[in-house]
Amino acid sequence: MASSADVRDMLDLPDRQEPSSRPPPAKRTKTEGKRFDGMNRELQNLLGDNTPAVTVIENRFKAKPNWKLKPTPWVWSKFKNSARSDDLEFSHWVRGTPSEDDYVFAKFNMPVDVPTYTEQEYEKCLADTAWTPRETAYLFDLCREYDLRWLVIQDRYEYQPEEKEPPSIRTLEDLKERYYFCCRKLMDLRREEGTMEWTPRELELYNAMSFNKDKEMARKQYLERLLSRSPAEVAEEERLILEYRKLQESSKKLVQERQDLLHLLESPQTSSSFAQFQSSQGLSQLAANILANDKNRRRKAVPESAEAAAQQPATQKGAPGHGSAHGNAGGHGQQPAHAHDAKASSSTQHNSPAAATTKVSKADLVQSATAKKVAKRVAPGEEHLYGISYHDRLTQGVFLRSSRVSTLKHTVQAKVQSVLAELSISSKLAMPTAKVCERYDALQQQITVLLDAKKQADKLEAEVKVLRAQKGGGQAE
Amino acid sequence: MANAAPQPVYGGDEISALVIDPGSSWTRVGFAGEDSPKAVVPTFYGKAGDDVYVGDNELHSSRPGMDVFSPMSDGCVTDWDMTVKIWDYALSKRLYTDPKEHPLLITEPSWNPQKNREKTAEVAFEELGVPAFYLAKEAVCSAFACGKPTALVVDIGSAVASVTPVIDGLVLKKATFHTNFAGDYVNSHLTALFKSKNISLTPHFMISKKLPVEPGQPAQATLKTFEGLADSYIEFERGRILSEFKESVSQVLDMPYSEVVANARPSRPFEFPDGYNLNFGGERFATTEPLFQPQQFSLPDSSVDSNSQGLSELINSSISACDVDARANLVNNVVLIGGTSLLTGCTERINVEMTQAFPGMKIRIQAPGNSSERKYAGWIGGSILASLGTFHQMWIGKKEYEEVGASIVEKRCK
Repeated sequence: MASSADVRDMLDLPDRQEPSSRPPPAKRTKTEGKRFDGMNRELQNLLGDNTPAVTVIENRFKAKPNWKLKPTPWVWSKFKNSARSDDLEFSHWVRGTPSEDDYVFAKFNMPVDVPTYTEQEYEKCLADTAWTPRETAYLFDLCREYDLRWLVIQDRYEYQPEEKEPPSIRTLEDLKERYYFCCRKLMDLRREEGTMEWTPRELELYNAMSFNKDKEMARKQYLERLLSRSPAEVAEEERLILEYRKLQESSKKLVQERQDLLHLLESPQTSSSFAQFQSSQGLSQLAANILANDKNRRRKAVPESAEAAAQQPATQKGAPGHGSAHGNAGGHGQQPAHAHDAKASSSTQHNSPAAATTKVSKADLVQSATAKKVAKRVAPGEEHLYGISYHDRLTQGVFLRSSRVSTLKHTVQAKVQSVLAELSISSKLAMPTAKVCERYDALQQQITVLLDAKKQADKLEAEVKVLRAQKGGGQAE
Repeated sequence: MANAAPQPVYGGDEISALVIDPGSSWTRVGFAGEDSPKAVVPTFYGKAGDDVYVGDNELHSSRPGMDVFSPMSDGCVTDWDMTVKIWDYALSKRLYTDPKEHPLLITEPSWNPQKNREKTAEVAFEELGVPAFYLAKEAVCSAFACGKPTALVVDIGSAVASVTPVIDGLVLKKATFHTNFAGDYVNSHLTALFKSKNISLTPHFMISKKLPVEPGQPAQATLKTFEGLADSYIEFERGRILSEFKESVSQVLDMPYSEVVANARPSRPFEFPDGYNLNFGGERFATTEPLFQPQQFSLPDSSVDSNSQGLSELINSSISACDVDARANLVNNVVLIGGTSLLTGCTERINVEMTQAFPGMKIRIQAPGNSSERKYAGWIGGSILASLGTFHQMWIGKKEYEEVGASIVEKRCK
């Protein structure tokens, strides 16, 4: 660690004179922790820094008022309101000194923007046979006065026509139509005169002011009809709505049930990703699952049919092996077929493992039915012609048949290999059909037996040799 | 403290305005910003010769030859001299204020004629000498008191029952309807009922001593003797008994009226000032029914105009007179106020009648639960209005009045 002297040396600073001659400033001892008063302080004096064992809480009712705080003055002061057209002054209480700013509430005085027009503009585009300039002006004044509250405007609309004018009876729609028509026309006119394009807001305003009187009247008619329904009609409507809801509910249920049924009939839809079934392991697991489900279902459906099947072994033999057993769940009237059907289907899986995972279509069902009929006529010896085979037990999943060729002990295997090589038979089967595999297996077995026999023979021969030698030796002695 | 601007709490800004709400039987007077009127004085005056008496104490003391009159009719002020006396009494003797120092807000019925409105401004500026004045519609104020800018205000007072649609704080004049079938009309029915039962209505002030008697037994009371009392005064005093009866016994049937149902309801006893007492059954309901069916329940010796409408018809015609777009909103914001609306069952009955009339709409009636809020809704709304910061641009200044004249009221107080 560099001391301060080193640092000074590095920075070329003059060495501090007698740095250690002055005593370091006394460290302020942190004695006072919490200040107590009254009885607690006495206790602290007695006990020192330790927390007092007993805390005496004094019951104070109210803190002393702080007399030093000055009260804020409230001043009764006059104010002017800029929202007023005259300079009438009111007074109110103000805290502190009254401000010279504008009245706080003046900013809320927001009039609605009702356009104004000149006589020329009126002549140019606003003229209408149904409306006189005077009445239009009256309408615009009212709009300004009542901030476009149409219900109020219509209520207060009392235009006194001049002698020549026809008396005017205006509906709310008439007033609205006239006003919005004028507003749009004025906007149009001003756009034509000015070169400035409309801002999006102006365009929006322009579009919003398109007023369709007929549509509005029709809407009001509908609304009126809706509101003037009799209690019976309202009750009827409520009842109908309730019924409609019920129907909706039941139809939903029906659709759901039908969908479930279709799911059973049709190909199962994959809801999740099938990536997991792309490996042979995943595939074998899936096949196993399907098989297990199938078995479970069968067990539940026909526990007694199994007995019947046992009593008829003949049919068992002639049962079809093609396709899956899915379609057999009834309707064929061949109850006994079930028990060995499981067998049959499993054999299918053995023969063509892919079939288990492929989707079972309706065509398959038909096929399996016909296959069943054909199988009945197949003679026991001809089964292999049709590729029909029976298995006692099946291993799950997909595998290469050649991999199932029984393996031998390592030492024996080598010898078998050499024998096979002698016979010029490849150890790898070129066409591992069931028959070939079977023969190959048998061959291997026979070779092993032969090898064993040879070994035994060699051994005996050797013994004979030894014994002969001993005998010979004995004779020689 | 620094120059802190006043915090606009709820948009309020007190300028210590006065609010007067003249009703047909009571005039409410007080300071804006308060929640109830400081003084409630009867809208009546006594007149004996040239002497005029106003205020509770003066009115109710028995003076020979003193007639009692109302300066109002149909909800509008008709006798301005007397009205000014009542207002002046309320302001100076009850509020101890000088109207010259305070802006004044006065409420008016929606059907107040223009002449009357101008007269109000004239009185305020010239006789009371206020610096600023505003004439607010009672219905608008009542709607404000219930916190609604848009409402259908159903006000059942003593002399007038009115239905007023208010849209955004503005009255729809063409859809405003009012009738005289209100509290006073019930009073006349009650008087007729007592007359048919041979019950003499002896006012309180006449009773010197009374003894308890069994129900239906003749009263045993000693009466004070007075000389030269005017009939109008005795009628005025009898009105107090009727008010008491209405408050304690009268009821509105909370379903469409049927005599059988009304008679099946439990009866209630009422003791008159002279000690006579009786149980009232179906009459409790029959006497209030003219509010709803004035034609079927006319007074014995008179017939009701066939065009006259009861309360529910009034509501219906008012709503149908409004634009279709406004109806649903109005029906959903019915404000029920006025002293007579405090009759038990009144709110339920109006709800039932409206549900029948507008089955397709959602009906919501707001009737303040507090009886003073119900009775003084107009004043309370005026008090709220006159203490709003944004309202202070609406006042008519004295200078403006002098420049334009009384017609400024039409322009400014819409």
